[in-house]
Amino acid sequence: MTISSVELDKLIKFGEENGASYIDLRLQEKTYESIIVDNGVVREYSVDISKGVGIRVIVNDYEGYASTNDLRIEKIKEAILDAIKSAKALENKAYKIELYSRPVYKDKIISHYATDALEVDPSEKIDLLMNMYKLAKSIEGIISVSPRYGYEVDHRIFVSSNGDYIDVTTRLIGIGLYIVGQTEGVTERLWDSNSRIAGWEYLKNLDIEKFTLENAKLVVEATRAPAIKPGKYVAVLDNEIVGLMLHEAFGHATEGDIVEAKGSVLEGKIGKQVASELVTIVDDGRIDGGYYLPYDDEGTPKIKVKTVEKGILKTFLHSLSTAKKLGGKPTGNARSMSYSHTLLVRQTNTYMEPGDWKVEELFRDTRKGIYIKGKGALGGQVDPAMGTFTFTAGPSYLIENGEPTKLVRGVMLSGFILETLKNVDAVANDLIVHTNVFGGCGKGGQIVRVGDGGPHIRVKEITIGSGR
Amino acid sequence: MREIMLNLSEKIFKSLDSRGVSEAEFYGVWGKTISITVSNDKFKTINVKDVGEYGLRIAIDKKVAGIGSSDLTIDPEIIADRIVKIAKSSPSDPDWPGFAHNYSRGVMASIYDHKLAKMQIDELSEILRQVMEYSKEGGKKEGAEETIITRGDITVFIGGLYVANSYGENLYDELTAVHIDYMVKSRKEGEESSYYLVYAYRNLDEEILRKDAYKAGEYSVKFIKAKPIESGEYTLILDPYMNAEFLTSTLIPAFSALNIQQKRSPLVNKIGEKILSEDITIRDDPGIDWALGSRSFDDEGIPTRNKVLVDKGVLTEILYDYYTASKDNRPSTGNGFRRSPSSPPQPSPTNFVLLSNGNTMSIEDMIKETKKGILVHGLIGHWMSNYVNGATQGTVTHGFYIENGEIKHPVKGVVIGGNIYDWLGKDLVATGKEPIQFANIYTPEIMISKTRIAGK
Repeated sequence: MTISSVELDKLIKFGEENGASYIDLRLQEKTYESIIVDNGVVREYSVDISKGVGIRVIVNDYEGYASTNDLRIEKIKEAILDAIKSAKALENKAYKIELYSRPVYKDKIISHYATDALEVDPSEKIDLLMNMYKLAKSIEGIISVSPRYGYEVDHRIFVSSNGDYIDVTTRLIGIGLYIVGQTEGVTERLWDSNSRIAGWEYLKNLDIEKFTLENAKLVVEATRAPAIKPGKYVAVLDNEIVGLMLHEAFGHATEGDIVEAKGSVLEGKIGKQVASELVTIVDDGRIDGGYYLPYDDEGTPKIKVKTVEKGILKTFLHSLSTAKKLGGKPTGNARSMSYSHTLLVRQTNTYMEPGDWKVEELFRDTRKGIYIKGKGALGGQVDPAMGTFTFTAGPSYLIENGEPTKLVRGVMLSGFILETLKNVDAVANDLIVHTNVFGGCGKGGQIVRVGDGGPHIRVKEITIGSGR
Repeated sequence: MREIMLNLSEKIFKSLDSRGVSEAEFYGVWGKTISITVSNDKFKTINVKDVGEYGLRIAIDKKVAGIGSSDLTIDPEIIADRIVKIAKSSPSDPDWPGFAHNYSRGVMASIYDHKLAKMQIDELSEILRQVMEYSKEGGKKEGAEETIITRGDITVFIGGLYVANSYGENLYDELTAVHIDYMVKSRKEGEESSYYLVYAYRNLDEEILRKDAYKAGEYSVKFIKAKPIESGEYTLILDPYMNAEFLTSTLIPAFSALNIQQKRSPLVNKIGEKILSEDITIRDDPGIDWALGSRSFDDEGIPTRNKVLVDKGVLTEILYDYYTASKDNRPSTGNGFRRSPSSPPQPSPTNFVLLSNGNTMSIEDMIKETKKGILVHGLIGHWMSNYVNGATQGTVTHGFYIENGEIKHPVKGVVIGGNIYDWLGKDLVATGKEPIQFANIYTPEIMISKTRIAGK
């Protein structure tokens, strides 16, 4: 970053001198390298570098934001004045903002990596994707293959008038495969990816051949599979899909800003039973396999939080302002997509704690139902006020006589926030958490990286529909 | 800002030229935005943004690379060195046609609202306050004991885009936009439900906004006590907004020449064939005043033009950018738009307009004609429908169950599923009379004879 800590201190003072009772600056420099191969041709090789500073001030208890990507000191000062002007414009028209008073933090963290992928020769990355293309194309029935590579280096510095100085650099890398199969006029697609907080070494050690061939074979198999019959099912959910369900079915409704806005069906439910007693849900910024977020974007440590413990709602996820307003404690969940966005309360890595069932026991105990798989799942969505959530799964299997049998495709699941998790009647002991360099969670026009996961679980009843 | 972008692009082209690179394209965007957020019926924050960014793409012996940055003061030598290194490492693309040239403007429309461009925070907050009041009145009229705006925002944007190539051509345009998106929640007889206001245009039409805000209030009450219905086959009526959502996820990407060339669309080799009901005509129209998709040139500097994509059910034309058009040995249709400044353009519509030339019905008549069906006003998850094969799916958050021509009760939590080519083909019963705007899509309601529903 081009602004020294001395200059940052001067900018903080400038804000205070101009009327801010509190001011924080969020500097960000982010590089995203993307390669897309489309049926053997490099469709895109791009490197995006974004750099800028976001400012938040509180003036007479009102909050204003401004941002600029012009990092000359005079321009940043102009942005600070814009933020102050915005806060003043809200006087007597808006909520008064009060931040939870927490200790001051100073820290510098770089996520673990061995080789910065930006330093690796571009031809090596292209070769990797070309190899994926050739492998997938070798499977009969594959008509379109688009392998992708993504790598981001996200460097964020947070300073505040309270004295915080947090400097975190996170590297996230991954590959993805968008693939189309066709058999006897039936066409199906599949998207799958594999990402990790790491450098180039992660892809060097990944079994690319296995990843590619498994997906290519699966999509061809899916073209021969029927669409699932709509209705209610007993479902065994795999690790990936459990994470997706928790994120949508529950996580969003625990976000403090949604609760504060009276937009969550979980308002007033702290201490109440909201899930089966087998269910404990965690939000953790440092879990292995997930996205790495040691501090949030207002400098609060992202602590491991159990939002639900043995089925009881324990806390919401908080920023400093929602913690103060809703009477909770800060959980380190104030996040922004970039320096230019405002802070929202967001999930980090959402997962269910493992139980004591073995996965094979879980199947043996389920005579008839469906095994919902996450490979190829596209994501999910929730309406936290209506209490309805939905998500798609990848190609999945019917369960007959205690084992997965026939493949079905086009699976979309739906449920109600206050009902579905009460129907969890078995939790296995195999916890896995994933993150994703190609996507994330969307809210209020902002996308942030998240992770999710859990063990295999069984849900007694869930609604499943399908397109065809 | 045009001068800054022009100077920067010229400096970079010069640096590239000194490295023997003669093919380059620069694409810059800038924008100033003011956003006011709302939480629990009150304003919460104001955010003022001032951001510019640009992308550079070059080709060396048909080896192509892109780089994007938001640093307008960058040393051109650094950016030139970096992109040349990437391009030289890339394999050649045998189909590479060079960058687009012969820049010019095509269809013109109003896209810059001077009133919006001058809007100050106080004026904007007053508009938002009034709009929120209309929503509350709408809720009150439907008998709500309490109606609140839970969360959302209003954003005003003024910005510009600049495209230039190393052949000495450039084009610049400025545009405005306003976007309002919030959730209204109402309480009645101890139960709650909600609905959304979404308004997105290049100008502020207060009459439309007031109408939409009032409707959002009314609808926030109508879905109280919503419940699932039995699984089975039902008549489906999609309001214009929900139809637009399905068109976006399942039909529009199928018209992209890139998806067709890469065999990711059911429209491969379908030009001249009947793909939808003869009651349906679809146009790509870049000339609608104040519409979000209206443009006189695309992101490659190619003039836009009106075109008919589907004429009475028959596929007549698809959407091309310069690359895909060259591959099919024909001119671009002016539909090359980018995901980000450094990304290659991809074929996308300007304004996608679905028109009816057959059986039209009012929404009231559609309901009357329905024996057992569902009218859908709100969905989640519809964006995960499948454009590769046309499969449509989504979970209903706001719907009504219809029996023997009458609305019986509100519905939520059921999954609807089918296929867009059936819905707009053999299963299409009727369309509404007038296309309604939703983002850059214009479509009327549609009534479909049968769809599968997963419910109770």
